[in-house]
Amino acid sequence: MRTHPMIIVGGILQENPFFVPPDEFLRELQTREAARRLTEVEL
Amino acid sequence: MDTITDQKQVKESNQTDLPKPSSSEPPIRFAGATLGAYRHICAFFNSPDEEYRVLLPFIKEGFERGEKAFHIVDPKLRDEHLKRLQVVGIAIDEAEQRGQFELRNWEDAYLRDGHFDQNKMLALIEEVLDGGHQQGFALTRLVAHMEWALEDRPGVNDLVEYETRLNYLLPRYQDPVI
Repeated sequence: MRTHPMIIVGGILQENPFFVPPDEFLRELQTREAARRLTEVEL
Repeated sequence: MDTITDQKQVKESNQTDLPKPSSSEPPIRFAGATLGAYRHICAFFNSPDEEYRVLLPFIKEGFERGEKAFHIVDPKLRDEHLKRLQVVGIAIDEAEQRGQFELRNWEDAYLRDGHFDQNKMLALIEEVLDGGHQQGFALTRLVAHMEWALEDRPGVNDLVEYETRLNYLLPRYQDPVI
């Protein structure tokens, strides 16, 4: 849901207040993946 | 295009002041609002009846304006989807014959070769939107059912990355992607 600038909820089209721009979102995904790999190594 | 700046503008504006489309096309009413410049839309529905109540006027208007319709559906619901279009008077056979309407199953779009490949899917979206313009359609209204993402399908973990990467691609087009 955070990847869509617009959203339809309750039958109404509106801007998505939770939208995250792609540069920021991709950074977040990379951070998440790095943390996951680190956890795997530590295990 | 400065995507980050543009998307910040989306966040900063409010519901009654949606970003305006950049062309002189006639306004597109959809789900109680007028479609603006940002046309990558996520839709949640409580039931198929609610879904089609919202989508059908938008879909039908596209046919009536001579725009292209590209739909991706659950193969199990393909016949029901076609019936819903026919009930509102859309002549699907004729539209298919003149290239105005294309209906694909998940396996012929998101799940080709049995799994989700985000790069192949991004290429397909680009191909479809470019293809519509090359065929002479002013717009393609792309409607895709995504319930497969709730199933344990190979490659589904890449879906979120795919959706965010679409936000680099779609601002180059005015075609709505639902």
